[in-house]
Parts: sequence; structure tokens; C-alpha cells
Amino acid sequence: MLSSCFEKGDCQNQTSNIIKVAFFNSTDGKSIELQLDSVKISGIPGKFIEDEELSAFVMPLNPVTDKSIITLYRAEGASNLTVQYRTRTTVLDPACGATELFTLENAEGSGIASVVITKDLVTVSLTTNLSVYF
Amino acid sequence: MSIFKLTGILVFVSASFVHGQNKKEITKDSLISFRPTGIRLGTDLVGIIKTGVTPGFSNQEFIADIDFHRYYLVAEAGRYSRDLSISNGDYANSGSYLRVGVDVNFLVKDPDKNMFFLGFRYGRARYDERVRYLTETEYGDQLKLSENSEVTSGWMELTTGLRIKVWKVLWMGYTGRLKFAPSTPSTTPVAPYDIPGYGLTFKQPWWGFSYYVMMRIPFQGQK
Repeated sequence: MLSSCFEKGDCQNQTSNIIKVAFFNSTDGKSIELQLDSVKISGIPGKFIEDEELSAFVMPLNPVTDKSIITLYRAEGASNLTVQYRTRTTVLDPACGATELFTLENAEGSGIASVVITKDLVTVSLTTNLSVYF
Repeated sequence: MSIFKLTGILVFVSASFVHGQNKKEITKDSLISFRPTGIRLGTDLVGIIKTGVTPGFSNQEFIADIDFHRYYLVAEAGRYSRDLSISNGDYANSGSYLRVGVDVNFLVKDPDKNMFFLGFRYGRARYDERVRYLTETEYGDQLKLSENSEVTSGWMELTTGLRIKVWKVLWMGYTGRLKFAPSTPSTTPVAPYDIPGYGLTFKQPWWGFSYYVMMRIPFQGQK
């Protein structure tokens, strides 16, 4: 079987491993700012964020695992978020190489009111993927 | 619809177009004219040549067809493998495929049974894919391995081509294909990139070309 000489795909990649985590008040649903002493993410050595007041932050997912554990340290105590996801490898073209599409599958936490996956597909458009309610 | 049902419908439709004879003669003639006269077996030269000249590529395809008057029941089976370097790793694919369908011959009165045809195929492939590549993220440079095991895909084709008798039982001919409607699973670890027998999944429609050398074995009492 012969195939056409035009075998190049489109290198435009809309996928990303960066998710956005945003904080909300559980009673009125409004965005809130939290004073974070530090944030640690499993697989990343050291503190990912240190001494900042934030209403949201962005963080990377690890492409070779299926889970990230995020620990938020505040004056009130520590909160844990566990995010489970799956990756799908995509080859767009030999020249573009392989990349991953991340899909968030489950999120749960402790030391928080609740956590909701608001956008499961992780793309370059940084809309909120995880809404965390305190 | 199974290929047997499709062939049956084609036989019925063709018989209904026979004119100028009484009912008894039509039945008798139809039975005779739709009796297969031989089977052709062959292989695709394009796959063999491409295997020889393309590093990391292998494709062997075999064809068989059998005539029912102007209709030919066709089966094409092949084995396929491909190793590819990508910018951040490598990709490998191996599997097999089968296409079945019907060709309609438009040179029915040719004494040598040469044919120009239009046809249809349904293709199905079963294959494995493996991608091994380097990811560069905030977690450091990591080697990732993603694999699909025994994935199945289907597609359809419109075909056209020629079959020419070269010498005694030796035949040659080509098939041009317009391939379309590939189906791939949506939850595999690797998004299917290349379907054996079809080609690159993001090419829709896609095209292909096969050049066959064939041997025709006539049935007993037929020429």
C-alpha cells in the first residue's frame, strides 16, 4: 500500500499540564484570597509557593504519574488536595513529537469544605480546573 | 450487513436486468452466468518495494478474488509494522488488517476477462502501538512509555482499478482507494496514530494505491 507524500500533521498543540486551582467561600460561593504560608506539591522538591496571599494559583501535573497531592499550609492549619487524572499520549507528527492530554478524573481533600472539578480537560486556556471551597 | 448478504443482493439485482428472454431461460442463464469461473491469488508489490526501501517499515499484503459474473468478491489481508523516530522519542506500530468487499467489472464481454472495476471495501485492523518519549516539565526530564495493546479499528473504502491478463495464469493490476470513516477507540493510553491498512488517523479521507501480481486458478470445466 502506498500513501501520500504529505504525511505531516498539525503541530499546533492545545494541550498543557498546567491546571488552575481557585479558592472560594463555601457559604456565598465568592472568590476569596487566602494567606498561604507555603504550598507543596508531590514530586516537586521544596516549596512550590511561599508566603503569598492568593485567590488562585497554577500548578503542573506530572505526566508519568496519575495523581498529585497538594498541601496548603496556612496559619489555620494544613489542607490536603488529592487530584487524580489520566493522560493520553498523542503523536501529532514525528517532527512535533509526542505530548499528553490530561483529563482530571477525581479530586478530594481534607481541611477544606469541598473541592469540585470545574473543567476536566487541561488545555492551554487557563480557566479554573479545580474550585476549592473553604 | 455481512458480505454474503451484500453479494446476494448484487446477484439478485443483476439477474433482474436480463431482458428479452422468458422466465425459464432467465433462471437457467442466471445460474450459469453467476457460477464462479476461477479464483485469483496475488500479492501487493508496493508494500514489498516500500518495505525494501523504507527503514523501519514492513508491509506484506495478499489478495484473493472470485468472480460471480460481473461481481468479484474480494479479500485483502496484510501484516504491517512501522518504527518511527519522533523529535522526543520513538513510535512503534505492528499489526494486521483485513479488507473485504465487492468489485463491479465494467468489461464483462472481454474474452480474456480483463477488468476495469469500481468497488467497495470494509477494512478492519488489529494492532499494537508504543510511544517512548522524553517529557520535560517542572518534575524534571522523565522517560515515559505509553502503549496500546490489541486495538481494533475499522474504516471503509471506495476502490477503482484494472486487472490485466499478462500470460496464461499470470495477471497484474492496480487498485486505487479512497479511504474514509476510520474508527478508533477514544480511551486508549495512546491516541491511535497509524492504522495498519488505513494510514494516519488524522487523514480523513485518505488514499492508497496497491499494485498486485496475481495468479488465476480456473475452476474445473471453466476457462
